[in-house]
Amino acid sequence: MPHLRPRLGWPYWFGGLLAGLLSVAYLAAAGHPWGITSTWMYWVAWLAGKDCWPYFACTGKAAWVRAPWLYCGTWFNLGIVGGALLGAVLAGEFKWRWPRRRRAVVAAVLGGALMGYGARLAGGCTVGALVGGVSTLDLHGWVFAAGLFLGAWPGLGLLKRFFL
Amino acid sequence: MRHELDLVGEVCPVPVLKAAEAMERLAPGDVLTIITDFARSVRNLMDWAERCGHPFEVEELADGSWAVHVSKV
Repeated sequence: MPHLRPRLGWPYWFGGLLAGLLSVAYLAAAGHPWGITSTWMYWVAWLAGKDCWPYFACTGKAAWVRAPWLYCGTWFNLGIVGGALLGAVLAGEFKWRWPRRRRAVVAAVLGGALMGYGARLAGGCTVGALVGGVSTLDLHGWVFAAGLFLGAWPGLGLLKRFFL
Repeated sequence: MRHELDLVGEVCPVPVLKAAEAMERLAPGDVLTIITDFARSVRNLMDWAERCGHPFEVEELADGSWAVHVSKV
C-alpha cells in the first residue's frame, strides 16, 4: 500500500525524465552532448599549462585549455552545484554534513581519482558517456552502461567489506 | 522494545544495509528508529520498509535530519 511521502524530492523517474529532456536541449544549444568531466580536464590542463599537448591541439580544444572559463561546461558544472544548493535550501534540507568515518574520506578521494581517470579513458563519465551517448543514439553509451553494471558488482562487495 | 540506530554522516547505501541487518535481530513488534541526515537514504529506507511490509513513519528532526521509525511485523 502506498504511504504518504513527505517532501523528499521528486521521484527518480521524474528526475530521469527531466535530465533526459534537458540533455537533448543541451545538445541543441551547445552543439555537443552534455558532459561533466571534460571541463575538469580543461581546468587541470590549464593549471598545468598543457595547452600544447597534441591531444588538445589535434582535437581543436587548445582554446578551452587556454581559457576554460569560456567553455560552457564550466558554467553548467557551477550551475549543478548552485542548483543543488538552491534545491536543498528551498526544500528545507540544507545541513552541513561531515563524513562519519575517516575511511569514507579516503574511499571518496581514491574512488574519485579512479573515476576521473576512467572517465577520461572512456571519453566521459556517467553523464558524458552514458546520458550523452544513449541520448544521441551512440552505441558507446550502452557499452558504458554494461561496464557500469559489471563494475557495481565488485564495488558493492568492497563497500560491504569496508563499510558495514 | 525500541531500538535506535544513529547513522548520521553515513551515505547511501550504507543506512539501508545497516537497517536491514539490525532488523534481522529484532523480534516482531519491536520498533527500529534510524537517524539519518542523508535525504536519499530516507527514501531508500521507506522503499525498503514498504517492500518488506513493515509499517513506518518518518519524523523530521531538523532541516536535513530525519528519524525513520520502522515496526517489525
